[in-house]
Amino acid sequence: MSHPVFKRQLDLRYQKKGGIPMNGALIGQLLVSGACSAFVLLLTSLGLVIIMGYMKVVNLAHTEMLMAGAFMCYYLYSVLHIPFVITLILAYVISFLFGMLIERTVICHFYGKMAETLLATYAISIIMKQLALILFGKSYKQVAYPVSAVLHIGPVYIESYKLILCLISILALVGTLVFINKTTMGRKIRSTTQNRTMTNCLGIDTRKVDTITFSHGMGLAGLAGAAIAPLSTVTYSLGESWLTNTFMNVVLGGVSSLFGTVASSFIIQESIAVISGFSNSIMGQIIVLLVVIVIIRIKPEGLFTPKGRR
Amino acid sequence: MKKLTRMIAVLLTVTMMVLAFAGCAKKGGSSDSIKIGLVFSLTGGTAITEESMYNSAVLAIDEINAAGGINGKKIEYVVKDYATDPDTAVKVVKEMILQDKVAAIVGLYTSASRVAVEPILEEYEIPLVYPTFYEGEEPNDYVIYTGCVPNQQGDYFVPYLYENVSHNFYLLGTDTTYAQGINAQAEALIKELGGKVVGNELVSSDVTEFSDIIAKIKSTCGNDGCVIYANLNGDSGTAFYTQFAAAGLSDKYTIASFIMDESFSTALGSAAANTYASVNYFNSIDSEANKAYLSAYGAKFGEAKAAAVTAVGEATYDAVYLLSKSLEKCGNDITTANIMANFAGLSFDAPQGTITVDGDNNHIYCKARIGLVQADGTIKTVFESDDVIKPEPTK
Repeated sequence: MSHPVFKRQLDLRYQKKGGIPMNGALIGQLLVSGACSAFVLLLTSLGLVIIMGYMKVVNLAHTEMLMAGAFMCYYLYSVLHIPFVITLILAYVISFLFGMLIERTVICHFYGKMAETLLATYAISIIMKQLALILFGKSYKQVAYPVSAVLHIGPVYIESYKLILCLISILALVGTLVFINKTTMGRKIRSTTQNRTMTNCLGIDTRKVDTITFSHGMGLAGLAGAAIAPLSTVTYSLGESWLTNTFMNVVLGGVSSLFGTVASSFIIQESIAVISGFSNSIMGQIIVLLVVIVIIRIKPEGLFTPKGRR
Repeated sequence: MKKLTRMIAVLLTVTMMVLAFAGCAKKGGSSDSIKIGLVFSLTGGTAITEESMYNSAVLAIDEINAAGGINGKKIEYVVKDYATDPDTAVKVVKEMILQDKVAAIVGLYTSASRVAVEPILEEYEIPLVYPTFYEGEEPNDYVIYTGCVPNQQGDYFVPYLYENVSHNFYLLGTDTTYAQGINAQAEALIKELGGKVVGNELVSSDVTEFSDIIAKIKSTCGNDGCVIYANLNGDSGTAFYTQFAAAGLSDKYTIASFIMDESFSTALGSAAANTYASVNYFNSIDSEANKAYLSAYGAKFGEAKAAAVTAVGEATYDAVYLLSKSLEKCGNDITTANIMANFAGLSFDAPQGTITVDGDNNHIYCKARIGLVQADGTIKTVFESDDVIKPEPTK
């Protein structure tokens, strides 16, 4: 936090000038920026919510998978010059396979033990981070924006890449919804979540179902990491900055609802954008965290929870 | 059987005691070597920045040893990783003092780790050479500071920007002691000059999404030019530069930052072009000493790494050389009191130019420089103070 005296002086000065100038253009800009950030947050949280919602596994390695995805983007797109779309697909596939490996060797031994999965995935996250440090070295790596045009709509601007991120985000969401709700595998996933023993009795290999679910979550994380790589530089510490927001998002949205995640992404990012526009970014984070705490107090299961018996 | 176990235990104890006493006899190395400790974050949040520091320290030690060592004695060194954590720094510094019996320590980067380690230095009376530019403090009796302090940096930066870029300043910083102090100093200076602070904002260090702040900058600054005085750390900093350039605002407003250095600029490429930096050393300085330093660095660690050598790397190189000169003056009488006393007035023809230790406060006299990042990632010096500036760490 800023020093109280320093802060007070600042507040006084803004009061004298009649506050930070606010106008329609700025509000419009903040809402548009907030919406873009919401899609980015949705994309980066999808994998987490799937693994948490369908498997009851708190995957602390999620943000490190984002980091790994970003490195894949750097090596595939910036170094090997593979087209961006193919890079994204490859990032998903590699992360999916990595997820399979992790699930088969580690996670599968810990189902039903929340605390143990926490520890196990935390250990995996540390290993991933240190491996990245050893393998990829200590330097900032940059991925150029695949498209760099800036679109102006009246006084409001949008970077074209942000629009592409929104599109990737929507595609990932729709793809996942179709996968879960319209395919046979998706039906198996849902039935395993509802009643594992019964599903087993019906001759469905729930172990295979678990592997696919976990791997899909990790795959989405890798895809998201690759997609956000151009927004910043790629380093082994990239995961850290996403930890708070992605977990807060999942908690607020409710772990068993993808629509909850969509809604909470918007609530969180639009409020942060608008509040930091009016006051400052630290105030924005504080207020949003407070609101999340209050909502969780009233609705401990998150904003959207499936109706019916639990 | 029981007897045998007991005998082994006794033997082991005796061996350990002998070893321990043997260790005591060799403070600061053996008769033909001097032992110093290096402590850097080889892992942790600031590992990227500290890589060139660690490499430079090793380079300087190798060079000194190749040239015959200190009064014929080789420098031996132990390396410890403090992982950007003050508590770990305390632990490993204690280890180096008590187990490795080092004569002096070179290293540390974060202010928090330096402050945490100072009581240990006082307790065991071991000198630390601290090679980083920092916000200034009441000099500690056991610390030599080989980086520049704000009166050798910001006092020139803000007026230069005011004269050459714009009278409007938007202050932005990571929510740390360092950035807060730097931005508060800048605000006072801007007022003195008659400039205008149009915004002042701190963000937490994990923020990598800047679209709201960029929108605010655009709205507050409008069509007037503006200096974005952005002292943002690590990943947060690179994210800001990238997104600012992507939003197409780099033509309208100019970013200026203390955090900007060659490790950033070479990675960011065009996103950092035409932004300002200020420190006492830039990689591009055209001097024989600097060329020699960088080519030796390049030969040892690779050309790409040499291009990313920063001011803290150079300050570490200077730190080891100054320490070796001080040890040389000690002759055979290497004590902490002698080492500290010998630093006063020591000069070294560093890559940045000649630097001298100020005996009054253990800081160095150095020049202030302002640089402009070029499209190829190098930082070109656009301003250099005529003479070296006296350090005023408590100003």
